[in-house]
Amino acid sequence: MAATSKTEQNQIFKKTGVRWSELLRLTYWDPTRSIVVDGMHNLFLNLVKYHMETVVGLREEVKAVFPAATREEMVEARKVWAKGLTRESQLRKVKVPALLGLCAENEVSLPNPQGRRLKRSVILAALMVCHISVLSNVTEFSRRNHAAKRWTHTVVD
Amino acid sequence: MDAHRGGLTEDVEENADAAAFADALPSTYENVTVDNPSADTTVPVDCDYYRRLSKDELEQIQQDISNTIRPRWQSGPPKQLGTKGCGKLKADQWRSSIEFDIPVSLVKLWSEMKSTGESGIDDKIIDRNGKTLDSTMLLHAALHWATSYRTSGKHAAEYMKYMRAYLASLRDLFPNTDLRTCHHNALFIGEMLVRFGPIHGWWMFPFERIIGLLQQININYKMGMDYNFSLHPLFAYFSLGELEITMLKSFCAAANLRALVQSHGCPDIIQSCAHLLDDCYGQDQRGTLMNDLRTLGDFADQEKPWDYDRQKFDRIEPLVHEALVRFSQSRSIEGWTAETDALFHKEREIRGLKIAEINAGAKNTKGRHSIIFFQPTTDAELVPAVVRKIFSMPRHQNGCEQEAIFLAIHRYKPLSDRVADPFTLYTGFGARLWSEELGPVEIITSSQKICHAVSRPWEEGVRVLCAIDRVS
Repeated sequence: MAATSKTEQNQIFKKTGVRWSELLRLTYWDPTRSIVVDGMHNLFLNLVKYHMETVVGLREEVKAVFPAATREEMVEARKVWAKGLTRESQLRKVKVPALLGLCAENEVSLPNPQGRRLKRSVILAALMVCHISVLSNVTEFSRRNHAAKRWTHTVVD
Repeated sequence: MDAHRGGLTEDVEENADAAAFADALPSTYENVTVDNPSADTTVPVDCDYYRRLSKDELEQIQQDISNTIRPRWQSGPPKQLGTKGCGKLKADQWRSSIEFDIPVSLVKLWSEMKSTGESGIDDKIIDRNGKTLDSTMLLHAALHWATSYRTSGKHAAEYMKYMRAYLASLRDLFPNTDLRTCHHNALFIGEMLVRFGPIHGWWMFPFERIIGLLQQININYKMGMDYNFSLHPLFAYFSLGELEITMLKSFCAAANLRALVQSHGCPDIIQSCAHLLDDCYGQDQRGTLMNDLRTLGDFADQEKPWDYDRQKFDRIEPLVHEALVRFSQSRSIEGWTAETDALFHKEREIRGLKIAEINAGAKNTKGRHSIIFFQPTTDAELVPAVVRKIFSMPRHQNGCEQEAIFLAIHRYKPLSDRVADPFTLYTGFGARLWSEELGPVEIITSSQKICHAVSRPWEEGVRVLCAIDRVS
């Protein structure tokens, strides 16, 4: 109720998992006891949907595989890699297929995509971490660990 | 992690934060770092087991869906189910997919897989498929009890039993995945079935319908609801809430009209116009809600005198007539004799259920309303049949002539022993395999219990049929 903006509302929701409802003004109204679970939404739109999509696995394969990188792309990517990576932005012109090619060439293992497309940021972070550990460039590592942090965040998420 | 430390030995001290950070990384990190020789420490997480149906399986299911014959009022799952293109499914579509389509398809897919015993298919996968199928059936059973038109302590108890079993099966299939809120919520529905009555009375279908209607109303870009906007000098001449009042008034007017037509005190003149309303607005009969409205409506006009024209009568074909004579010998109906002429109907509504003869309808709608389940004798199990003819004859009762409707049907023959019926494992499921061979002509009356069926070819000469009895 104290929230003044939508963002603030969302923050409170994220923190507590509870949203404000106008009904809460009623003194006798206890949300944990007076809520009716709706059959349509809960049973069909949630339970059955979850069952079909997750348990049975009834969903189309999202194209997890990127097209192969062209030779030119790979040449460019190798150049950047050979120069030595210090910043993610150095790779900003390299497209995802070429990034994956780099990963393959340098034996960077990537997290299991779980059937989804790998995010660019994840690949970038993996490359950065790998590059740094190969060079044992410790100072770089500590300076750049925010990349790794971001990456692990994505993985956990 | 050790590999990292190896790389970090030189100046660990000054990079203590980095080392601490490396320690704090979750274990998933470990598996992805390149130079970890002992990478086989992977924990078997669920995502490895998250199975997605293969492309063939998905295509088979889509094929099955388009082969299914269902009555018009049931909105089936989209033909492209499982692809991005089909968009979000409606609650109704999920409902019909769990009630018939998906379980039947899965039984077919996976029982075949088991029986052929192809090499290269892991036992693990077969086992897992079996478990998934069982859990689907548990969910089906739970929903069956929850969506019944009746409720009782037994209904609630059965619902809870199956829902618990279903949740347990989920935990078994995905030991590392937490159940969702909806799974928790589902455990409260049992209590609510007892408290509030059948779920049809309090679920959200009617409200969603109203929301849908409201969204479609043409408001001519008036912003009735935007308070700030109407304070703006440009819009000041719009009176606030005008739009809402118009909506509310016409909504109430429509509701009152509907109530008036249905009430007993309705003037005859309006009553006789009611069919006009029906013709104008009664077109869309699809979906759970419309079906609810129809099944829960009353059909008190059974005892009306029948006004008929003998000129329109046709001769009954010999085969059907023989059956009719046999029928009249076995059962005597008061004031009725087996005549040789009758009024035939291509389709006919019987207690709100549209029944059509098998030859009626276009290519893609054929059989939609002609495959029925009926009750041969009281307390007998429902059996499937195909409607050959529908006809009515006069019948003298209570001093006036009434209409007696008869259906000439062919029963589906039970399956021969040659084919094993995988559905016998799931007794509560309702669908069964029947031979496509038809029995001799039989006559049933409209007073017998009749309901529509969903059906789908199973294999050569075999059909899977399921009664969709929305009353019990």
